[in-house]
Amino acid sequence: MEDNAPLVPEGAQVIEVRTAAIPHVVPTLRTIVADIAMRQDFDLDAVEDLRMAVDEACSLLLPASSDGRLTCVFSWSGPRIEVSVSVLSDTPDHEDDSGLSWQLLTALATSAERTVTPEDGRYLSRVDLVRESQAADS
Amino acid sequence: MSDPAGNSGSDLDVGALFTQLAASPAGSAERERIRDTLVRNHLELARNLARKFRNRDEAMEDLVQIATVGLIHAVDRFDPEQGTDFLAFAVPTISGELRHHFRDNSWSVRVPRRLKELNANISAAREELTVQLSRAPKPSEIASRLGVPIEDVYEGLRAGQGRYGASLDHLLENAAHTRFGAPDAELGQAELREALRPMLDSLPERERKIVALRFGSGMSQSDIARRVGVSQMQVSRLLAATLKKLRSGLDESELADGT
Repeated sequence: MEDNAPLVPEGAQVIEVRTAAIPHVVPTLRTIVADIAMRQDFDLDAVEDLRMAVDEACSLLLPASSDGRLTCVFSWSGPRIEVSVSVLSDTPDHEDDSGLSWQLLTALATSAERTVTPEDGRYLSRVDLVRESQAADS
Repeated sequence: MSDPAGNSGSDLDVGALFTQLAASPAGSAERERIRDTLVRNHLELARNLARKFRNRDEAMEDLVQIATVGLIHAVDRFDPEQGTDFLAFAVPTISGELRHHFRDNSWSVRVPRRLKELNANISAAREELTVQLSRAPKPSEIASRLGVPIEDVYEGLRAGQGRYGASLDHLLENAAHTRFGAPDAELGQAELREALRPMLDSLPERERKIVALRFGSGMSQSDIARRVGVSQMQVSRLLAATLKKLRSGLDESELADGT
């Protein structure tokens, strides 16, 4: 399981949540990210964006989970928050990038990346989001 | 001065009506009619007052509804003996009804009054700062504007989440990967079917039945033969001839359509 942990930069704080891959956990996850963003003093629009981004990332991956588990890792340091949502999937294919979810994700996050890597005969399907506070340019 | 009741067109004697209303016995049809006229005549007043309470969070129709309830209370409670003008009585009654609504009902989740007030202050500061900074403010900026500890701002912002409930179905509706839209793979089939339909209709009864049994119900030729009362050989021959007819008919109609 350690392999699916994203690279966390030195000095960053991390919260890792392992939970059932059911829609009911999504509100909890997005509340976590909103709280982190608020406490990192992100502007309030960015807080809302992150909340929606986590929502989209989860709903993108939830149906693909083959073992009914979902892992969500939040890490942050200063004006940068990273969220990595992953599930183990039976098939390597995933929704192409034309879906509405993905369009939203790329618009909401500073960067969004989707990866699928083989793991023990199954596939680790993961969405990595980065959102940086606009602090630098204002 | 403009007439706040907005009923300048009608020269209804409100005072006289109230005197009549007080005189008519409770529950009588006459009383109902006068009460109705009084309420209808002041609907515009209720609407105007509702407009004053308008904010982006509450639907205007709801506010008008509440103001109208306030107006009905005002008509019922007004006592012409007191010698005051009805408007002087109605305006505070209706405003009071609207205020009560905002105090008691506008939050889906009950939160302590302190947090409601804090949330209102935060919302106001948020709007001011958004204009000033030309971007959404940060919690720290709100805290220094309001002169409250930042933890209070966090708390107030979180409390704001409870203001409006979301439907439980919301999750289900949002769960799907909605696409921007793609052509249906069976679209070509649908077109062919439509082209085939008039030709099938023009077939003789027996042939149409055989085609339907073979391709619609998936029966074997011998079953069809037994059913229709001809030999299997004949079914085979009829099917082949019919299909040939349909095929050439389809080509022709395609040519005719110029497609």
